[in-house]
Amino acid sequence: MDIASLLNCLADPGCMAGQIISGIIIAMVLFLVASGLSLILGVLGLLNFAHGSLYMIGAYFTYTVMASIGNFGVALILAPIGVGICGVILERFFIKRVYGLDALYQLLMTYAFILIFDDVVKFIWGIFDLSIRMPSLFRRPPVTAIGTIVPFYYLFLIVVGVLLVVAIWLFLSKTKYGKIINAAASDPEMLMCLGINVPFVYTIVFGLGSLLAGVGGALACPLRAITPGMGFAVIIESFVIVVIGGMGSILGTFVVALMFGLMRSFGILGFPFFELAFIYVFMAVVLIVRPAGLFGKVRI
Amino acid sequence: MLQVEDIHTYYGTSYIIQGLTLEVKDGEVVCLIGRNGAGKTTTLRSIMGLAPPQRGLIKFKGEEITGKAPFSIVRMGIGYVPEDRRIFPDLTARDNFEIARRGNSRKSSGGWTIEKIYEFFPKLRELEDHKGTEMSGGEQQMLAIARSLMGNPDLLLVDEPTQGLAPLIIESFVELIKSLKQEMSILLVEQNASFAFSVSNRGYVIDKGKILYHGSIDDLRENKEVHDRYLAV
Repeated sequence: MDIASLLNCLADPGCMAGQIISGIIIAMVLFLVASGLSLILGVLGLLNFAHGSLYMIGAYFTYTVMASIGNFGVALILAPIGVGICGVILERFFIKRVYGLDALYQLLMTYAFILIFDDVVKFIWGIFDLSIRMPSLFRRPPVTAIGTIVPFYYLFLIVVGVLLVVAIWLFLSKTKYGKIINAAASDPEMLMCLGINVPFVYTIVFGLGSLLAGVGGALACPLRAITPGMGFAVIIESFVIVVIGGMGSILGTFVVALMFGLMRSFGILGFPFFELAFIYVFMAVVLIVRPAGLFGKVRI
Repeated sequence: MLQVEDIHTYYGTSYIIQGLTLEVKDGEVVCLIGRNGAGKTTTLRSIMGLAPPQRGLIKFKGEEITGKAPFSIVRMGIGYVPEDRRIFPDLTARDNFEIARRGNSRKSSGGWTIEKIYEFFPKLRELEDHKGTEMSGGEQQMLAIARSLMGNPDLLLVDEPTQGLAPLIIESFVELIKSLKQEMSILLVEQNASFAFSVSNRGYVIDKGKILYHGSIDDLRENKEVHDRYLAV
């Protein structure tokens, strides 16, 4: 433990701002992945362990677009759409067969896809870590504020993340399609009796959730190594966020992703090697006190 | 309008509907009465494709609908108001109408709009921003019926609309069903036979998954067995 360095940092505005920013950066990528996971869990009732693999595929697609076209803006659009299409195919042919079945079947099938996707990725892109150069747009001097240095890409990531939170929330709560998705989460059979093609809604929801994982993967590319298995850590962390936030709650996912990021960035200062334990202890407490999650509705 | 011919429906291994035949003609209100567990709800669920029959034939407007998905059956012009109303808890009354609104390709004129719903059910205009969970049983029932009208049905299946409602509200539903009758055929499932008889043209009595008796409402009223079983309190 290194409580002293944590206290020093808390006393120094520059260090504190730096840790806050890096916590927010962790949170943004995790939020995107977790929001897709939460949507799929809330609406389809599916435990999709392969969600992290979709994040990984988003990163590899981004790499390929960067390697061939070299434009990060194009990659940010094409890669998530590609992942969304992969999600739609996955749902149509495989996932739809395990809806409503025991969670063990869902676990078995989606876990199988983690292994399959990892091997497919090794087959196509090789076993070595890949990375992309920081896109030229963001290769400019970092911004200095409150005594800390913030890379330009971080600012971009924060803005995109916040815009997406607002966009997802508006879509789900204000549009007709969002309301249909909400109704599908509470009573799909009744929705079908109003003439809505519910299996199609499910496919779209799975595709959208996959697309969000793809956005997460694409945005993470300039920051992290692209490697087979990179989805695994992300899926565990995303599940933790969804469980604490309450499934199906976008706001809950966002707030908890921020808490998660901050706990990690500050935890690593005071309790290196143990920083992850905090969030799990926190999850255990939440599950005991409020099993539906902090922002989840208690369904009877 | 609707022909159900000798259908057999199972729930898991229980044999619920055991060779049931009934018919609803254009412009008719037909009631299906019977005791708890007689198979009334399962009959409606079979027609809707929610519990497809293993054997038998269901035709709507001359076209076979057995085995079709529920949403295609709705799009062909059958509306369904389930027994427990099934109001979406997070949506307002207006949201319910918006998601249930369907294109109007089948009907050349008219068709239901949110505005027309509000003229028909003035109470729902006041409740348009309320969520389903904030409404009384009668209001929820009105919403459930109104919502199914947004699909412009030619035939409406209504499952026990009076269940759990106060007598005064049930009376207002008599008027409601009578005015809906101007626009569509109705198959009404009821345990409350006096309500069912006051709005219907014909009736079927169901027991243990079979039709026991059917006839005009006057016939049913005069039938001693029907009277003793379903009308005597």
